[in-house]
Amino acid sequence: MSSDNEIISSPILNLIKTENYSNTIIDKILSADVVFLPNKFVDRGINRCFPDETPEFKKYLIQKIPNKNIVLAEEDEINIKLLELNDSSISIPIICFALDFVKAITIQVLASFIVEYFKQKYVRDYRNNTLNIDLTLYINDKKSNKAIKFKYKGDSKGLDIALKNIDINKLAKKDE
Amino acid sequence: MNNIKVSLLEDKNYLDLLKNILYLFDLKKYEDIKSKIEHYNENKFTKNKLLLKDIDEITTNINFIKHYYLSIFYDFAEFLIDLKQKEFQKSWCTLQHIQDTITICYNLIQNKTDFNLDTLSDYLYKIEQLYPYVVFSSTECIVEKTCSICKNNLLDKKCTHLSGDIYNGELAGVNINIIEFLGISLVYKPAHKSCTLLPENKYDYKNFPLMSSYGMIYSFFLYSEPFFDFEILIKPKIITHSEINTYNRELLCPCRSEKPFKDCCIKKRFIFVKEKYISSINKKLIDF
Repeated sequence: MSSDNEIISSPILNLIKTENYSNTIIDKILSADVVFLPNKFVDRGINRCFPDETPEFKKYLIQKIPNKNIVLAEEDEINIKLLELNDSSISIPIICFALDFVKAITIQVLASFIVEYFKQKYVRDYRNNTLNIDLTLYINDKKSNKAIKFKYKGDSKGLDIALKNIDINKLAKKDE
Repeated sequence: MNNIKVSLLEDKNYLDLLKNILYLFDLKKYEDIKSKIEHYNENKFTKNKLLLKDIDEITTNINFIKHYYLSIFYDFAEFLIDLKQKEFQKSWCTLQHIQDTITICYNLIQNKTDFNLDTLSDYLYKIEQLYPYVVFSSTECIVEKTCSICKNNLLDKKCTHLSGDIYNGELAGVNINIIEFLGISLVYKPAHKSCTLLPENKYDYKNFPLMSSYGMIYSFFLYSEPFFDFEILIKPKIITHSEINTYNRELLCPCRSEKPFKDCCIKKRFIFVKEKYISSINKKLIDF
């Protein structure tokens, strides 16, 4: 099990620099509260792909936080291809939360949403702790163009604690 | 997610049916259980859909859950029949299917204890441990999926269905339209456990089924009662000379020397072996 928190430059800006997005898409991504970023599976030769869990997780988040702008960083959001992994690792897409949004609902609430999702969908695996979770999320501050990168890889039981340990004040401290 | 309270006490016929099914399990009449459930489902329910809709959605969904829950017992009867016929791989797949059904029921039913869902899941997980499978083969692919209810793409805003929920008596799932195969891997924790690898053949003794790789699960079928808790016992066994004479000379020796029987213990008057048995504990796990 491993988890870490670090401050990096904004992943959204990096993505916009490297991909040929149209201005409409860039505006959509920049104004969103939650952006799902494509994963890179270098060992499989895949540059941009969303994991299998993306549609379900998006619908789940829409249910939990209605009236929020949740988008996928993709030109054609509907007809995307999904990568189905062979391990029982549940790989949800890289999520980028806007800092203002996280401040509004608190990281504890957000963490409980994510953990609840796994609990509901994988009841038995969650109870028996046989689930591998691979989760990357960013909390992005548009003003400073910095983000907290949180990466978790491990079993389901440790996720709850790891998520609640994300310190969003780190971003502010760094600016000072 | 749906979370529906389904009262068992209000539907006396359904409760009687469940009690009757458990009684038939005690009598080990598995075919009778299957036909009883088929009779109950007749023209009303197919695999993931309730055909007879009620006036309102809640009642329809409750009826769906009742039918869907019965499929756990239908499949468990099927599982025991598979074991009886020594179809171990098939029985494993059936077991996985039951676990999936329980997971879906778990999310749909609010009063989980009335339906013994935790106990059932733990019991089946314990049975799963009796199989020799450790490594599984699993595929990796790129897919395009649509919703099984509205047929729209899963990310289409028109589609609000969550897989595993019920909508007016129909279970939402996904249809895979395009599959782009990437590779196959051997993994300990596969996405789908159905694709098993056969264990090494060295202990597949035809003479001694209980000592084969599937010995534990076969012993479960022989010596345990359905829905009763069980424990694993190791008992020493003496194979006498008269028994030895009936065994196939070419197969492996029961003393686990990995030599053919003809080159090992064939001339001995007795062979001492340790066999693992499954024994039922007198504690019934589920009740209605």
